[in-house]
Amino acid sequence: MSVKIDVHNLFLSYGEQNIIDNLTLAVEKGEFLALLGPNGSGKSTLIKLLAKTMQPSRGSIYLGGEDLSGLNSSTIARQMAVVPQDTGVNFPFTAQEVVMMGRTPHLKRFQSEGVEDYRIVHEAMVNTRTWELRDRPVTELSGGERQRVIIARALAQEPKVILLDEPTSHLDINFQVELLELLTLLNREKGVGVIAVLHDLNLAAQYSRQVALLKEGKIFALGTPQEALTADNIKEVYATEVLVWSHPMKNCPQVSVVGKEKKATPFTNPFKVFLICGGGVGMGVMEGLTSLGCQVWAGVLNMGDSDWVHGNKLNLSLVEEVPFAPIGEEAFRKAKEVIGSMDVVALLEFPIGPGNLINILLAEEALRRGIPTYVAAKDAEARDYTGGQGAALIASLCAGGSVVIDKGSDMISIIRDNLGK
Amino acid sequence: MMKVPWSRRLGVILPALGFLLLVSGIISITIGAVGVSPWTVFSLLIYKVPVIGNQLVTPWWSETIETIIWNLRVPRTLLAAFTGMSLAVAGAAFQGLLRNPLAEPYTVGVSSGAALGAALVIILGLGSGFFGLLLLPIAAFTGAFATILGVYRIAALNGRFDTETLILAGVALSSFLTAILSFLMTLAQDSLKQLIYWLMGSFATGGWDHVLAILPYLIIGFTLIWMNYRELNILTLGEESAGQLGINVERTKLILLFSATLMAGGAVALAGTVGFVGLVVPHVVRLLLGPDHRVLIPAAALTGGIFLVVADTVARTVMAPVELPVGVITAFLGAPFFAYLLRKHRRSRRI
Repeated sequence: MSVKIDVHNLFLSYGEQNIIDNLTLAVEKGEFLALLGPNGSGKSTLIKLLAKTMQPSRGSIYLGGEDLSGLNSSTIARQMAVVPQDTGVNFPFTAQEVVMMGRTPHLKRFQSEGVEDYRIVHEAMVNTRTWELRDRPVTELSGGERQRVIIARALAQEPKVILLDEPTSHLDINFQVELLELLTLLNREKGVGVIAVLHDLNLAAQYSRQVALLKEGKIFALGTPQEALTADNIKEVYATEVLVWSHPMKNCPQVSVVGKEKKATPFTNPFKVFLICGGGVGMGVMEGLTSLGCQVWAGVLNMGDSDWVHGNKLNLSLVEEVPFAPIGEEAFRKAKEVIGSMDVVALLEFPIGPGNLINILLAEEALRRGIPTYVAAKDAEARDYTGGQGAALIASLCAGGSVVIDKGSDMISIIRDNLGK
Repeated sequence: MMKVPWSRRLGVILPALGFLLLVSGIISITIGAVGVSPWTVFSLLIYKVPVIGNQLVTPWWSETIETIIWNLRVPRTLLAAFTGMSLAVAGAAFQGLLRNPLAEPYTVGVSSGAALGAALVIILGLGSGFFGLLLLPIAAFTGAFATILGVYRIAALNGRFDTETLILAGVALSSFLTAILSFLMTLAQDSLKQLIYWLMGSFATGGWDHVLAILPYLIIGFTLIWMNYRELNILTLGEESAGQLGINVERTKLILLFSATLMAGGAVALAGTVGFVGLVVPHVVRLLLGPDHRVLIPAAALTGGIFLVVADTVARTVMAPVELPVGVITAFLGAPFFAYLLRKHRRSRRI
């Protein structure tokens, strides 16, 4: 129970502008394809073209080898169901009546709904958790409930392929996941093809088998989530800096937003600053100092640590250690070496554990060499997980001539003021 | 709560409404300058059944009574019933088709279009006689169909239209057509009185020829619309969804527009512009029986019939011997109801 869809050199143009621009795509039987892309990239339009709700300007679409333009709407509806973005209903049909409308393509004009139709409707409503809404007028349902009713209607159509245009947009996260799991189940067990416009890159990566990234009416990248959802591709399509890492429990990529695309700032002042940080406390300071034009170093950081990731994004020089390992001799020695050439050293308010306790000694080294050293000493006990050793070291730093600051971000104004002089 | 299946709803509701229509029809026939008992009316109706009627009943009434009942009151009541049926079903179809609970022949401009078409025939002096009765509905239908196409063109943008825009377009076009009509009436002083009375809606002149003239429009329109009950149900979800559920949207729209306009045109041509029947009746029926057009269409037909039979009875008795135009009665009931719906619609964005 499945069908292949082929799209050949598809165009949809309004005047000069191509909404869909020479798009070619083959969707295999039983595929689970996510269509991703920024607003205006043509995702929804592509769905409407596939559903024959819109006519292409040029090119052709084949549904199971047959030219879509030659098929009547009833034939198409027996093979393809569409869940639209906008699910407004003006008339108070009950939820069950709306789902029963999904049986229309299977009924002849004067044929009444039979036992089998009622069974299919019941199953579709149970699967979408709408059975308990069956007697409620759809006009009185919430957006999310109504969306689930519309999805139930699509299931009642018993389609070979189901097209969804942002089906999760009105749903809470639990129903989003539930819907995607349901689609996955239909896809795996019954081989129903799924083509869905999704907004959430992470959900798309997690549930779809293929991802098509659309940009300006063209397919920019197509492949498995691992192949298509790379940081470079996303940057190119969405003009947004992201980090792509691997989902801790599932074998799929996950995407985190870093910010809008940034140009590397060239150093404009002689200040070399070393940040002793970790666990994400250095991210803001790194950005602030970089934008002031300082040359920023940070260390010692475990690879994968959020400060490490952010520092890399900002193209900083880092002293690093392998992931999740205590900071070793070699990294420590290298950091000490680097600190010797710094103008300023700052110890930020990172959580102190046995693995990074040694980082505090870097500040001591800086003091010893007479480099201006700033220490965020506030609440040191609260973030000390070494049984007091860390807090004690920090206290001795404060007593030993370093400048005490409240929090790491104070460094930005301190350096800015120094630059003014 | 167990949902009553549609077949049970149809099987109980329709006979009940049919019975109510029959009763209100007989009562309406008994009322008038000459009082007649319901039993006499009933017996006379049985007597008039072809072939077997005169074997079941032996007439005890005078020939004058028979003439009054059979030649004046029965056709008048039938015309009222058929007009009510036509307008109510047309209203239900317009509401479903245009996804707009405020749509009805009057508000979408179809009535004005039909009136202009029919008025032209009357002004040109072609509106009398049997030929006139054939020509009037055709002219009315033509005017009505041109108007609905115009409204549609004004309101639709890329095949979609906004609920309020459609009504506004209907009202605007309606006023325009009424202005033309008023202009024509000023020119045609000799047929003015006939026109005014007809425009307000009346069954006073209704005879058997009127009944026969409206019947084909009613039968064809009703059959086509009821045949498409499933399409109508699905069209209320929007044209895109309807297409994706396998409906041939363009063809269905055309059939439904044609049928609803046909019924409205026929009714307006033979009974004048009787407003608000097409709005009030489908609404009340929808409130009581739900929006499923399989039940809604026939139930609206019967209820529309009852409504206009009762309204006509009121119109000719309330100030007797002066007869009010029936349109006055329906507007008196319908306009406040319309205002109420509009208000509710504004508050909840749906009805």
